[in-house]
Amino acid sequence: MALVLMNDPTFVEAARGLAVRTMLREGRDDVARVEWLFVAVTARRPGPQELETKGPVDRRSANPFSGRPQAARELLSGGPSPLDKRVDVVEQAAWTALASVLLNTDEAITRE
Amino acid sequence: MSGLPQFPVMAVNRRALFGRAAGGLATAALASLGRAESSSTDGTGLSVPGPHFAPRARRVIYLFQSGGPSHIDLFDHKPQLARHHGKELPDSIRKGQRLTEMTHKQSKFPCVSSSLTFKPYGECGRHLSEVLPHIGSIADEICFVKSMHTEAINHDPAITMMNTGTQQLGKPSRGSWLSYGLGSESRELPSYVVLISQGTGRPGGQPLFSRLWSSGFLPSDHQGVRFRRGRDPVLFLADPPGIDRSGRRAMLDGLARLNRLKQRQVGDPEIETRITQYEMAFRMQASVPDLVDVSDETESTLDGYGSAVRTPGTFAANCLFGPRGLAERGVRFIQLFHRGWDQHGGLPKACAGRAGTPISRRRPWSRISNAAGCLKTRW
Repeated sequence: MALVLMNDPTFVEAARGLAVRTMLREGRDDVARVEWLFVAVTARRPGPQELETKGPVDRRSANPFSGRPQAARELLSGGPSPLDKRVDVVEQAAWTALASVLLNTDEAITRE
Repeated sequence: MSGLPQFPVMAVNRRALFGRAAGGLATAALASLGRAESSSTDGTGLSVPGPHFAPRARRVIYLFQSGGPSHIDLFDHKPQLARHHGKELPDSIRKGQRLTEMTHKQSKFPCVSSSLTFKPYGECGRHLSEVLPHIGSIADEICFVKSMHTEAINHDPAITMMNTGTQQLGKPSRGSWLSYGLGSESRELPSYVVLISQGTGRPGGQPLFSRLWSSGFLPSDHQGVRFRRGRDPVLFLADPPGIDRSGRRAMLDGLARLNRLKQRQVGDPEIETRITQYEMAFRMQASVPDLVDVSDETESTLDGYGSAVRTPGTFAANCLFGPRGLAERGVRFIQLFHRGWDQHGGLPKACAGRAGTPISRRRPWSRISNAAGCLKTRW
């Protein structure tokens, strides 16, 4: 199931959609955007440790897709919905990866 | 709070309730339970108490013939039955055994002996049916257990009992117990793998259920992982385009950190299982793709399994794949379910047909017993 949630093009596309929604909100404050994304997925605000442990896909540290627009475009090409051109492609790929990670957390997957 | 997504008022969920209402002591207890389990892992992530003795067999390859091969036409020579052929089943034998839904309206219950001939094989002189000459050729090397007993009278309760120990649902399967007790020898593959094939004997008859390889009340990382038939045993192995291996590793690191934070809050050991499963998935992305490649096997080896071995997903192919792809790489328990044995009629022909599959051939058995590391290797 891990492989489905991470690699099935449907889920990657869902992460991309969530990423675009996140980027279109909250002006350009990255912390607020991360908070919004977290609430959207888990229905609660992130704690301070959670905000910090986004690791290498954290928007604030080096974007793993910077300088790799082709890789970014590849990630965003999954699924039938067209690429959203309102937001930058390289940033969109990073947010998609982050959204994918959040959608794969146990909290997001488990229904209590 | 402005700008945050607006959700309807959420009822407190179970985890949050335990976290807040239980107070400091209980929460600490839950948290330490989570930590204690993970501290006993053996590096593969599975919680392993460890055996208290040095075992002699290392792995199990279980060829499960679902539907039920007719033992009196294959393995159990019943010469006395010939004398009762056609006569009513005596009460002294039946002893009030309950009837199935299918048979209870019958007015007669005649005895039927096998129409196949049995002859002795090997030095042990074990009598086997004429359709099993290959098994006969290794009769001295294998063990026949003749003391099996059951109270089950129909398929589903019976296979549930064979796989979990009771006819009632919910108990862990054999493979899960083995995985729980012995841990895994492989980091790259699950400790319990299930392969399913469909024979020609009775297509569509007698389904299988995933609870037959479920972990029941044991931690769910001990459940059987079913590999698919055909060329792609596992789906979605490839990462999406644009994400390379190091990128995926970074995402999994972040995911594990988030999950561990959650686990410290709520103490649910299943979170640790989930982390383990994601790590296993990551390793399987590397280890699985070359599993089904049998191109380095010799022609004579492949011929020993019958012509079906070259078709992925057949029982023959699974018989090769099980020991070779899985057991030789350390998978602890490999279960091959082969469907199509539920013969209610046409037994002689069907048994001969079924017996043409690798269950009756010699080479698969040798490979299987070597791969299972039976009794010759030290622990």
